[in-house]
Amino acid sequence: MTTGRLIIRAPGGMTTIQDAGRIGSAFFAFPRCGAMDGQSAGLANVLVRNDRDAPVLECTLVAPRIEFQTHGCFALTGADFGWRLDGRPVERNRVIEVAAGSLLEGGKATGGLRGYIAIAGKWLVERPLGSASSHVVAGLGANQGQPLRAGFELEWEQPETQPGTVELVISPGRRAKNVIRTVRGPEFEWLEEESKQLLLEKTYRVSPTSNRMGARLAGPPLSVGGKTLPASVPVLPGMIQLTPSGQAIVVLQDGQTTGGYPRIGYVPRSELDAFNQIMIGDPFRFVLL
Amino acid sequence: MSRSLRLNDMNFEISTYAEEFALLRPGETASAAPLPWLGRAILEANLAGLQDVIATEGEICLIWARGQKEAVLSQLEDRSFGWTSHVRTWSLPVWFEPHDDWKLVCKATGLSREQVISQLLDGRYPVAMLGFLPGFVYLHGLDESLHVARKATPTTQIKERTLAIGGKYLGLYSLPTPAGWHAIGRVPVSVLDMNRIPPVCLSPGDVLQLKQVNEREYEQLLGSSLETFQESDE
Repeated sequence: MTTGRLIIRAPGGMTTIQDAGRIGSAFFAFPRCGAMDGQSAGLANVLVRNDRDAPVLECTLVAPRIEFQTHGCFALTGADFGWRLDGRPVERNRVIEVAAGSLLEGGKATGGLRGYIAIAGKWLVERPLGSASSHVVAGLGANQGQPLRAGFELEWEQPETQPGTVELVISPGRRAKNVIRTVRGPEFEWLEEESKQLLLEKTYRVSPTSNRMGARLAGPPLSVGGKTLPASVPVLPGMIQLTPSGQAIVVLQDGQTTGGYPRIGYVPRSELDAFNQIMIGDPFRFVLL
Repeated sequence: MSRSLRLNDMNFEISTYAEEFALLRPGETASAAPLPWLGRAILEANLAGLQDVIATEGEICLIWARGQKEAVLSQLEDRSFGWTSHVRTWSLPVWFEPHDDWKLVCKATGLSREQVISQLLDGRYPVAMLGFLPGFVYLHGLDESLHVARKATPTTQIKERTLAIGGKYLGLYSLPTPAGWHAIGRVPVSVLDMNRIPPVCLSPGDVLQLKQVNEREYEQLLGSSLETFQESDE
């Protein structure tokens, strides 16, 4: 077995190790975590012939700078970071082979917020409670759950055969990214009639105070007429909670497993992938599924 | 879409959302077994297709793998999980540290710090549920005279292993996180061990009692195992 290795030279906006998430521990209040855009992460893995749910690097807003210290085979998916390999542009959604000493870098994300890097082979990272996904608050996952810093070294077992060149053509306007399909949440009917209309007709934006735990929405405030839940209730990624101030919060991958706010909507998994690619401050609308 | 399910000889109303998860709520009769206990039993039954269970006092949430809704719900139909009165009791050492939140607690309850502590030491606190974030434990049994509404705005970072009052609950924060509850004490042992399965060693139904220690004793006990403080297993 030979080992591949890369080193993070600059971490970019926020780069973490994520996989399909930590399954089976929600009862003990462990959030699922995992890739914010699971479809793009899975696609990167499939391209390099890894397990679809294997760990990837998740890049946020600004690309990291990565030096390959051995040869390797990788794929880039998700947002366009203007990736360059040794100064030359590289395309997303295809398999790329690199020699030792190559430098991968990029700029600011466009056409999305998050990008994924899959590298062929079995990653030599910790998988506590069955997952490499980083959970910052609990210090759980690969790299003790923390975002990667300059100097972090990632190692993997090189596959016996390299995956070979594959290129995928993703048709651009496959779906409108500024419309998020949602279903009624358990407390949707608590919304005043006017609020129901606002939620489904007006434009909202993801506020800059959002993070992997939750997306705070900026837009017309909503009201349930002061109704409150008598006790905490289950929540999961995709749940739209309404805070007493009238601001809605979409619970995301690292969010808590119970909460005390009315759950007015739910963004299904595949739609949450698209929602998590919406750039901070860009307008979008909810429509009912 | 709503339907019902018979589980542990009770009717549950099931609401499913986007074919991805369901919420189970008990029908007309109150459950003999608390829902968090039932949630744990469902989790341990390892139902094919079921990924996660979240259980609060009023709802059980079942999250399944894509396309596994019917498989999961059919495995539950007419199931019965034995509710045993197996109770584990723990005597948990607490150092009632001089935290700023005490001012609020004394003001809201109209009691002195010593009166609050004495009242707390008299209580028995059954684990109500697990939730919020890893290692957070909701405890029942807080005397009504000690109920203090949660802070309007969650403040600062609470220290790990902090005992706190939030509304009608006593709560245990295992991790340093922002907190909306009132900090009253520190516990020298952790109920959270992320290297084992399950990662939280308290379960709904377990009972905690509090034993006061001073700062020096607290420091000596740091790092001990929770098992040391188990009183009974009956």
